[in-house]
Amino acid sequence: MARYARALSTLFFFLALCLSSLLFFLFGVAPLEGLIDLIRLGFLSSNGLIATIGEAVPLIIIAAGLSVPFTARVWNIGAQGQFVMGSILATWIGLELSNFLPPIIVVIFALLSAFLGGAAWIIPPILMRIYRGTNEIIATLMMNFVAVFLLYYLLRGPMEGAVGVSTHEPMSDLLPSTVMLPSLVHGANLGVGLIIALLVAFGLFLLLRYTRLGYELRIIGQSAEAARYAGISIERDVLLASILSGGIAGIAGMVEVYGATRVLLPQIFSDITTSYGYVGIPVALIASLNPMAIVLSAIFFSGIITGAYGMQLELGIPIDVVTSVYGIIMFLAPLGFYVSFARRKISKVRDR
Amino acid sequence: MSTPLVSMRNITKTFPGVLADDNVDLDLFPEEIHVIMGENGAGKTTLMNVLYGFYRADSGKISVEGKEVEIKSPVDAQSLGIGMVFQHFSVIEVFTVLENVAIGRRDSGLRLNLAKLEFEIEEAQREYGINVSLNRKVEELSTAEKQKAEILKVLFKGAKVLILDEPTSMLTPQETEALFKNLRSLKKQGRAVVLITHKLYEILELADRVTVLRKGRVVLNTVRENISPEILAEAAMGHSMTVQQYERKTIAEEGALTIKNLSVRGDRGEDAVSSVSFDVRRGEILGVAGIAGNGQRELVEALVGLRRIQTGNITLNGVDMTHKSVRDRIRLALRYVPEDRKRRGVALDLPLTYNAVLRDHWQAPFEHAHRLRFSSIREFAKRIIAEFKVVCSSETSSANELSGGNLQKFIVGRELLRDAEYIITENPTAGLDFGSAEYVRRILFEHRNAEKGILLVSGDLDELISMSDRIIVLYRGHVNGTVERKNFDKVSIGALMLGQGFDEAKTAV
Amino acid sequence: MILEFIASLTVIALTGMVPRAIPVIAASNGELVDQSAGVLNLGVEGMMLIGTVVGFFTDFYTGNLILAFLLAGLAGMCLSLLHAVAAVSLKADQVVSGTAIWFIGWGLSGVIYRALFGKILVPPTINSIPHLSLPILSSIPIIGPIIFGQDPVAYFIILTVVAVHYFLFHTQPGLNLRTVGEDPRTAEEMGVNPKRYRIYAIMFGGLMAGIGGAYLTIAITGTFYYDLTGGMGFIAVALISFGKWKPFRTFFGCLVFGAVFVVFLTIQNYYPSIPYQFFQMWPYLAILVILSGVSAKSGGPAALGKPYEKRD
Repeated sequence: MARYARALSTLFFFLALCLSSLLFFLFGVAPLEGLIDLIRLGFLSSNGLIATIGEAVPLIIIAAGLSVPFTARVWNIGAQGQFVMGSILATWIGLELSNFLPPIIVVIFALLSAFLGGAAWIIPPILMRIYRGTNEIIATLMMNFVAVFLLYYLLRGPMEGAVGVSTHEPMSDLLPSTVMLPSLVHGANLGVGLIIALLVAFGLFLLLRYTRLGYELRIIGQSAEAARYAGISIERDVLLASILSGGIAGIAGMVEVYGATRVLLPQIFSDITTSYGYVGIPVALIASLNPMAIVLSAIFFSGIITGAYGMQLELGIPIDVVTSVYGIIMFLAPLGFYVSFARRKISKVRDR
Repeated sequence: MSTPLVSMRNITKTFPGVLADDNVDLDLFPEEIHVIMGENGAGKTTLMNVLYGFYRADSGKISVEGKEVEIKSPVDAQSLGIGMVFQHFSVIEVFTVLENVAIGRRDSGLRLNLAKLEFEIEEAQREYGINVSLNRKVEELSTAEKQKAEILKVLFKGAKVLILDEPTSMLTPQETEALFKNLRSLKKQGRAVVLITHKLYEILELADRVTVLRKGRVVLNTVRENISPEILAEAAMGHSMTVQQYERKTIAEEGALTIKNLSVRGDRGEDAVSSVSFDVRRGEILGVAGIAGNGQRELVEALVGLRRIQTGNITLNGVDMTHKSVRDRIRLALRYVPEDRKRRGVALDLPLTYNAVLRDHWQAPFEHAHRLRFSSIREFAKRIIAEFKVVCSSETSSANELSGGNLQKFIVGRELLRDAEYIITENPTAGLDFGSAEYVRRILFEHRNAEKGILLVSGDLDELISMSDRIIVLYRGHVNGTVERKNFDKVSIGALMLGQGFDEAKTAV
Repeated sequence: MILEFIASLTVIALTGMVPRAIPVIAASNGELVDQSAGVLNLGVEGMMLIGTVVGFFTDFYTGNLILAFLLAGLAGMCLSLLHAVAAVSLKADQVVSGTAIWFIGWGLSGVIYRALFGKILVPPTINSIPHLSLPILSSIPIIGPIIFGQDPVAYFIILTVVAVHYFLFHTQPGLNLRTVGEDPRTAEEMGVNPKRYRIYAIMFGGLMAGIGGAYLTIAITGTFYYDLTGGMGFIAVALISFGKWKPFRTFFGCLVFGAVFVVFLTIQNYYPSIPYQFFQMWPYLAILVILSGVSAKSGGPAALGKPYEKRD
């Protein structure tokens, strides 16, 4: 039965791709050609592949982190804000402390503070859910806006970098090159950053499948009644899962700054293609919340962006196609699963 | 003899694994109260659900006023003048009575003219002889008033045939009397009233005609003059009315689950359980009798750790358990087989392996240092399946692939194969086919003989009588009597369930 | 000094709050109908965005305001139909489906904009709606312009709030719809078709969200940019629980939100040295505070968010 559902999901997935390719029509490009170009530019060219995998790194981290609360049907829509907070704290640590401490220590502190920043950002909305029954979707989402505006404010204020003053672009100072994560390709996350991402994904995979917490989260996501019957402390597990997810999203922020951009920029967060906190949601859902599958799903989504950028340069197709594509995929692929679900009948227990 | 309002012929209805109705014939005449009786699972409700359009019969015909009809949904039934009042009312709690009657009206135009409707209903109320305040929200009404509202709604839609399914299960004796009066006057107005019940007392009071079902077949169909308790009992239960005999070993004396002065609040802040005290001794089955809704659910939840206790205490073999968590109680070997097996008992979409350790996954051998040990889990699941003969494709099949009976066997197995000193179970055989039900009962009995203490909450009085060593009766959250096995008598226990002795004591001040 | 400050802020808040609140009023009103039928549609943000872009380009190319609002509403409705299919026919998880609609709307709006306007750096502006100033009444100091000086579309949207209230609580279909939201099974038994009511409710929600989005771009900002709605769709959803699923109370909540927004917009000007983004975050924090004050566990339609499976 699960196999049937997966097959349908994949079918709908490709259906979604085809449908999105119709968007190419709007720009005077034949859909099939466009699709082929997209794949070529995203995955099959060397530049493309590098960009794709590098871009996928923060996406993997965030989406894998999301799989934890999502398993319990706790919808953390605030990964974007947690991502931002993590990057802010990590950058600040890097700028302030690298004069006094050896790089490796700075990096470790940055990692820790990023985790704390992201975790701290999710705690208020989750507490609201636990104690007031507030819808966490809206609560975590609101925090995103606060975070982004906070970022802009910091970049034009306390954290304004020297370069930014002259160009009127909001951005921080550059991090010293000593603390940047080593990478195969300069400026892309193809080294330590990638390793971190894979470790996170693998670690969370183990957590969800083999630990008690993972088990309990699955039960909570299935039925709160059954969870309570099982003696599970729903509040505790939800809080734990959320802190983990928030902190991990924060780490993604650190990895992005320390592995790729080297500077804190709002463009990282205002452009949909790099709004990993939002994109991470469909990435996680499409992969059925399995962190290992998320690695593939993230690379796929990332490849679409890279391909789309390539197409923008070559053919003039705007990047916003990407968000629509994400939406269409996210909409259709789970539907495949639901179609099979609708046909399935719960075993008949006739209480006469 | 007049012509029947409704005629059902050769109605057969099966569900997977169960033959609910087997070639049933039924005639409903106007100006009669027709009682359909039988044990739990005899097929009474199913038959009426077919008439009301919730189910489609596999075969058979239905005629209304002489014409053959097809009833595909309750809407069809209603347009034919058939109305049904269920045990669990289909009302919207947050609406007023008036609004509830107004739902789905076709011929009244766009505007919701509640004032006009109220006027029409007031008139109708006088005609029916029913009196309900129309402008109060249903959630504020007592159960009896809710029922009156339901009946009013059904009548107002033009019901000539009024079916009531176990209407007195939540009523006090006085309210029951009032209901009887209403039903009698309704019948005199020319309607056919159908009463589904298994209570002898009601039948004797009300019935003009009785149809007795047993295991889906009509075994008796007769009129008032020929009715007597003995005839009915024998028809309903057949010659296997013999109380199932289990071999009883003598009870150990030490150790008990002691409940003292327990008071528990319900979901709406009401007193669900008031100062209840009793013991469950080791090696005994203590039955808890009572009409559903008299505090059993809240009592069980408090015992198991799912509901907070206001006052009183619980001790298990001398250890105070009153404020302990669910898991602490599991550690003390208190096991629980819940009534709601699909929502509480298992996580339906997960495999049996996951469900096997639902209550114990945090303990060795299933867990070690926060990691689950799947080999142990799988083995345990396989053991449950083997020992309790659960029919499924494998231990990895999903819980929702199991039939009700097998699911229950699985849950019972899961609870009993672990350390179990005391077992609390609610309606363990509800909805089960005969074989699974017997199996579950037998297993429980074996545990009784192995000196475990069992608290058996059940709505099936025969089951309680056959299995229990003692029975306590819950009425309005109080213990209204404790009966020893030698004094087991259905009628007197039934009376206690209906509040005998309790209401009188309360009113005699 | 302080008193003057507060007084002037209050005046500013009162005068500015209505236009700011209108998009949210439209969106929340539409979603209110959805939720009263038991459907949770979180894609309001996406539907508003589609309405934004469609309204914008229609006004830009044709200058016909009525057409702009109409098409924007239709666009929102089309998007909402996806949710109808998923949530009602296929009984999918309403949260996931709604989120997907959000993404689709978000992306599609960007795509459409780029397709039509290319990569213009400075977004084009469009004509706003002329205000309707009722002759004598709007000269009443302070209150006059607020109540009587708005534009026709604003009045129309406010009228829909009244209409929705009347519909839900004083008509037969409204009662039927609320029944579907409480207990679809009972509704069906009483002859009400839950699927049909839910689909119509969803379509209405989409219509209103689209119109609200169009109002945002035409009447308030006069232009279009990425992420124009800034979470307003979600705020609209949040305000429904604040308003306990009653149209007038929700309307009031929207006005409060509008006022808060305007206040912070204005305070910025008093502190030019502080980057204005510092003030932009506060409305969102305010929403959070409002939400935490309301215990959301009480009051919603009983069947909200649950897909309806027919018996047997």
